[in-house]
Amino acid sequence: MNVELTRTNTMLVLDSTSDLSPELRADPNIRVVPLLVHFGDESLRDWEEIHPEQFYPRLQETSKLPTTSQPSVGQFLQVYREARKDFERVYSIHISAGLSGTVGSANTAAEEVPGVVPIDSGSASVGLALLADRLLLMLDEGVEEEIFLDYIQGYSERVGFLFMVDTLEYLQKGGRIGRASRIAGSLLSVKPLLTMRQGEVDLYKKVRGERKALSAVQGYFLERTTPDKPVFLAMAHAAAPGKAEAMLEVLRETDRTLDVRVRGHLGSVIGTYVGPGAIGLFFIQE
Amino acid sequence: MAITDSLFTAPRVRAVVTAGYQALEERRDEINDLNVYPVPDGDTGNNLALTVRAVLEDLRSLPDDSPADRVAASVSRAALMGARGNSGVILSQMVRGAMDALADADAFNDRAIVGAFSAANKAAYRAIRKPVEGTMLTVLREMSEAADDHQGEDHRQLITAVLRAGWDSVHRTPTLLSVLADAGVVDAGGFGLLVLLEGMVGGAEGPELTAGIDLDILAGKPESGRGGMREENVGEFAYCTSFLLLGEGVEPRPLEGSLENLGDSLLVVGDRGQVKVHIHTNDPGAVLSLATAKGSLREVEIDNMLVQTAEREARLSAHEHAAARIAPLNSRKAPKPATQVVAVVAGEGNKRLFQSMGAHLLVEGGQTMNPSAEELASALEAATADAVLILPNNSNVILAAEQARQMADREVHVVRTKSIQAGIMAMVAYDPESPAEINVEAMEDALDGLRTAEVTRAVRDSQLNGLQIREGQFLGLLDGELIVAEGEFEDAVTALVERLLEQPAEVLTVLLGESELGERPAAVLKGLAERYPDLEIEVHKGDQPHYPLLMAVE
Repeated sequence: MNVELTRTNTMLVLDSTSDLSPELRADPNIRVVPLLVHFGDESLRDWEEIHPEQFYPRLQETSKLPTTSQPSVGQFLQVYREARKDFERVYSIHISAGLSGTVGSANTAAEEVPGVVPIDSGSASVGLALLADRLLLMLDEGVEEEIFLDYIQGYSERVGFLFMVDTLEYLQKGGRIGRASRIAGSLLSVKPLLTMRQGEVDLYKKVRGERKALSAVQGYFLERTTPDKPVFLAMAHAAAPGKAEAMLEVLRETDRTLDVRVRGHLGSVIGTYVGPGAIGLFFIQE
Repeated sequence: MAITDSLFTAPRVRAVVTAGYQALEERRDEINDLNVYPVPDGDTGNNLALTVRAVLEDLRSLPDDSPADRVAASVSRAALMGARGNSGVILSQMVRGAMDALADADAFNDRAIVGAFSAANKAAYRAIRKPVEGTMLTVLREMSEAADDHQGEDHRQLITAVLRAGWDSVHRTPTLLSVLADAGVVDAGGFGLLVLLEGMVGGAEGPELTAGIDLDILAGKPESGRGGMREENVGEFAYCTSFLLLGEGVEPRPLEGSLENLGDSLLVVGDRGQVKVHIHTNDPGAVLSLATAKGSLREVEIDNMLVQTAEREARLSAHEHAAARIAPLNSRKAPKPATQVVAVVAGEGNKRLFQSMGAHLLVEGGQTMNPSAEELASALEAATADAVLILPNNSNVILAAEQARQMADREVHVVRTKSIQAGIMAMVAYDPESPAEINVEAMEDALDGLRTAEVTRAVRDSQLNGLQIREGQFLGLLDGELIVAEGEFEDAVTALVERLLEQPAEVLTVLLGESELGERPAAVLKGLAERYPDLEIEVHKGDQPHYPLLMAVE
């Protein structure tokens, strides 16, 4: 049975770690379930009650790092039931299970609401936003469910993903450092360029100095793209607009055709684990 | 029925615990340095001391006239709440078992003591999913067995026998756990447990309790020596995670089942409604998420054991005399590394830098003391990976390194680093999980475009490169070439850096050596920072001899 998915019968549910642009957030076919950021006893809904503009200054002031928690099953249930009133199909696409238990809550909730398909994207942040952007385009034109699902399943393998952090400290303290733990602890300041493998944070390369880091990003980008087709791109930063701009600049210097789909801030939940100064870059060619 | 014997009162228990705590505090560092196994778990001495301190603080707030069962319950609870690390949590279970038994005893006599040891032993074993012999568990079990054997004797004799059995058991831990034998140490937890008990017995109760106890056995405590060669055995899990979980629906057993797959060294102790969890995991987030779903979290602690291990190693190497010139260092062994690094390094600070970047074995050496090929070969033999890279870090060591490579029984590559700075930059590119050739390529890439500079002092008059050099002058070398000779340190540095920065550079790395220049190097660097505002200057204490400054730009 191959259903054609369109904007009239299909809803996308994302979680707040997707760091959506305001346009995507306002899209009638998208709902967002927030994670929580906890500063001590105070709990705030990511992207609803706390925005990057407030979060990063606060992160730098606080001596005790905030913590985060995944949405409850109840939150998902509510959104699913609501969505199912108007839409036949609900695809609930979430941050990699290697980074958050969010998709676990979604799975549990989905068991109770028929027509909801929970999916571990294997990705995070604006990587999810970029995925949503591509999926909406498919819904605009109408797409067979099989093709739609194949795209989502293959996404984390196909998307180029690098992120640069000022320090590994946040990833480490937040327990999200994954296989990159092998480079933690260096007394020498190094700029780690990180990526994700099998849903977990992993090391791409270590360099010293911003310029070298940018040239390594450029190298990574060129290796994974071709000049003949547009490159769809998403980029977000943690209170570091200048660095994001510089990164975009080295990509523009190449002969690739860039189509920047999402540009924005890394939200509070993601920011808790990467720390101020981090930049995330995702790109895909179709 | 509660004991009515006057020995078991709040003030008395407080005094005994105080004495035990003091004993632990006194030997805390010694216990910390024994901590090589079974799991890198923060520092056993700290964990035990802090756990006992929590009990003590609780006892201080307990009214003097509290009934015995109330004292026992309060001690149990404080130990459970205050338990830190693996050893602390196990200790807290022992305390709980002992307190349960004592609360039910009718007098403080030989039977009560035997019962307390037996209950402590059972509680401790029950709390551990996979008990490891050769640890504090074994030590307590053997003490409990000794207590059984001496039941019926006067309680002073009984305690003497139990402590003797305990020390004997501590002595034997290396025969049960090969990693202890390899390291030449006894088990830290068992050792700490005896220090605690000995302190409790020999301390505050003094005349009353210890009269007739053979304190000579306490002198027979084992040497807590450390072996010369050692390779840390670090578990595959990086984060020591512990917390209290409170809530009506909180049950230890089901929780244990659901956490089991997330790591090892799992301890879930407590009762319905209040549970203490300790686990070594690579995913503290998942552990906490799981727990939050069941109750309310308190006192969450997450420590990176790899960092702790590195810090401990740094502390050890800082006061380790150079019995062996080969100092095995690194610990980062999460998965078995594909490639390890043997580096030739002089200076404590430089050693720490190499270690922090994952060098496996460091061979002492440098400008004035070049290691032999044999020394390098034995370092290669001590490596555990199938492939090893040697960083000679000195042009005079490259040949010896090549020779060692030929003598080796495994794949060895020599990365021809000619200076400490070059070695450090090569280490930036090192990835233990990549194969050797990939590492060699990445390191050579990193060395491409590297420029190095050194400042040292002339040891005699001479003429070189057209420069007239007088003894005691400061010499500046650029990429190994003598280019500057000045009477003042500051002038030499300024002239040298000017040449070094002729090509644009982003980061200047500086290693401060041993020197009698006091604050002068720091002042010069401050001047450089003002003069080159766009340059990022990173300064580390290298402690290398003879060279007040080593520098590199990329």
